[in-house]
Amino acid sequence: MHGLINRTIQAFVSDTRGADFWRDVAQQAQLGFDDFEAMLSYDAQLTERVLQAAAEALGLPQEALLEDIGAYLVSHEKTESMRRLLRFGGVDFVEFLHSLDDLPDRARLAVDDLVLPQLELEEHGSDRFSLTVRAKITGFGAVLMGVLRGMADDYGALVLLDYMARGPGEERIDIQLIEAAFAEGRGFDLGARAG
Amino acid sequence: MKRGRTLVQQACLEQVLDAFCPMHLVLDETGHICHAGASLQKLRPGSKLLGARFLEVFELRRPRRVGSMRDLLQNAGVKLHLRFRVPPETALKGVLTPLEGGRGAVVNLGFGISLMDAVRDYALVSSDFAATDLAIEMLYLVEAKSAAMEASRKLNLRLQGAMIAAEEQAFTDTLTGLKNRRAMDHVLARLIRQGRGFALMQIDLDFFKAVNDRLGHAAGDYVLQNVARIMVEETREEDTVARVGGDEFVILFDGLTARSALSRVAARIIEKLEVPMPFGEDVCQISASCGTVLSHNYAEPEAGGMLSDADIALYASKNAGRAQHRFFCEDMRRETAAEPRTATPLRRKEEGRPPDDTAGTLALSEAGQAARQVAGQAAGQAAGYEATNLACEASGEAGAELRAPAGAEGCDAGHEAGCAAGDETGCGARSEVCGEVRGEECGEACRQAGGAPADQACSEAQGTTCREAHSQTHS
Repeated sequence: MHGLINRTIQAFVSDTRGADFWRDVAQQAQLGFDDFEAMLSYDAQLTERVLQAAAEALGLPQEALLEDIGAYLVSHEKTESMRRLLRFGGVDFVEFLHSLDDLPDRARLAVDDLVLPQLELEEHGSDRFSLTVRAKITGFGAVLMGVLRGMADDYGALVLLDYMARGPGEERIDIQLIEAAFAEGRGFDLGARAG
Repeated sequence: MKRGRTLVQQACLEQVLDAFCPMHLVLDETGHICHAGASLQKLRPGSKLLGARFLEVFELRRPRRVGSMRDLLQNAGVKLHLRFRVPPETALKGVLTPLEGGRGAVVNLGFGISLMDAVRDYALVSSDFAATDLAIEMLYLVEAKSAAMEASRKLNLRLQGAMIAAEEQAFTDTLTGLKNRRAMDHVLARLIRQGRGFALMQIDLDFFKAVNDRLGHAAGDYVLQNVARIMVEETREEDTVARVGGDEFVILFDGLTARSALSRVAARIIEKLEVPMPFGEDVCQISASCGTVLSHNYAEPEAGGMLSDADIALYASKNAGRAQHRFFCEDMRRETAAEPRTATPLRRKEEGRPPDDTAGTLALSEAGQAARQVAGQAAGQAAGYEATNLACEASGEAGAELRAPAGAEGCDAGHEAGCAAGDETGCGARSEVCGEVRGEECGEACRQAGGAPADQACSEAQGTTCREAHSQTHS
């Protein structure tokens, strides 16, 4: 599993619960080290172990943990660059949804060994969509739930999300757009670089 | 009528241009701006683009020498490099195409590589760019690459830190914090390359083995740490102090070749090392023998030769009674050439023994080992050990080298018992005990070690010298 993904899990745990809490999780998962390097690759087993340890330590079901990580990814001040990169996808939430098809390719443009799940958006009406997530392992869909929730807030859109795992490596999220401009949302300045 | 149709055509054209090219300008036949795309207008808020002369708003940097509308039209289809004349002087790229019937021209502009600055300077948003423009993708890529680069940079920094730490570790003697043998080799090679004058001093601790054997390794380590501190204190920052073996040190004095100064440093080091070091309830007492070579005494200084000469000088100091310093001179080489004893621990290490091989420096043959075990039961103390050692060396026999450390070590090992007895009964008693036991046991050791002809001399010498040394020490 790519270091960026592992590093995200670590960042989520230590940014929300503190560095000591993370060290305990790392120890529980028997990583043999304290810090993931974002630009290195790790055995997929390590990711599984660390997710399990983190879910246990936080007292959350794994799916909820993954969703929290997704939301963290687009809303925490330390991950501002992630939010900005996603905001490049579109000027409003619907355009953003449509840009998700390109997300894996966009990610590969920046980090060519980062393999993200294939995403496919289907439009069932102007306010109803479904997003199918296909990957070698299940779990990305839950992360995406968090990402979508966070980005809807970011755009100021009011949405209803419904998640279901449909089989090994395939997940589906139903998206219902209640109101595109429900709230102010956060600004997006093309020229401002994330610190 | 014709004019009317032209106006309609122009209006259509402008509508198309507004939709496709938000960064376009329409120029009239005199080169004045008569229409501007929305984004371009956003770049010059307040100032009136419309009605201004194109070449007064923009400086044409390439092609040069374009001063009129006629010149401009001659460059139709050519890639133009322009810049606003008024700050922010954003650089732009463009291309011009003439309008039908000499009615002017259309210029389409773009940011090119100045996109990043322009987005910031003018607070552009994605709707300011044509839908087909790759500007947003470029901005995305720049940010994504920057984030990825940042992650890589951090990784590199961490790796660099780890590398420096590892290098530091590879060049440091972990016990004392001094440089190690490898580091010393590097510095020595560098000093030789630089061709500046320098001095190389070899220092071998005297009576250290006794401390180790009598009080254990913890005491030995403590002594070594003290020794390191003293050497660092007594040398300059630019000097290199290295521990190159168990109790062997090398100091490289960069740029210092004055004999008097070096002698003073050596004397100070010896003096400070001789100050008894309390360890728990015990006291560790050591000294040191030093030998120094000067780079300018060599036509072509060479590391191996210098180290081996310093070693010869060091052993000259040892032979002269220890606790002293000598500069190398050629005579020493002749003297030592006559004595097989010069195959000393230090010199053997020269031949590739690992620096920390303390045991190795005193490695004995199997016979020696056996001798040591026997002799180890004997009682003695540091002075006695030295005397024994010297006495054995004095016998000058071929086998002496082996026996000397054997006897010496054995005697050391017995220190504790001897000293305890001696302390209780007083010096006189100690001399006696020590002398007797030593003479006997060391003699035994020597016999077991194998050199039959030397045995007698050795055991005799030891017996007497031990006693002599004792009465000297305690008188």
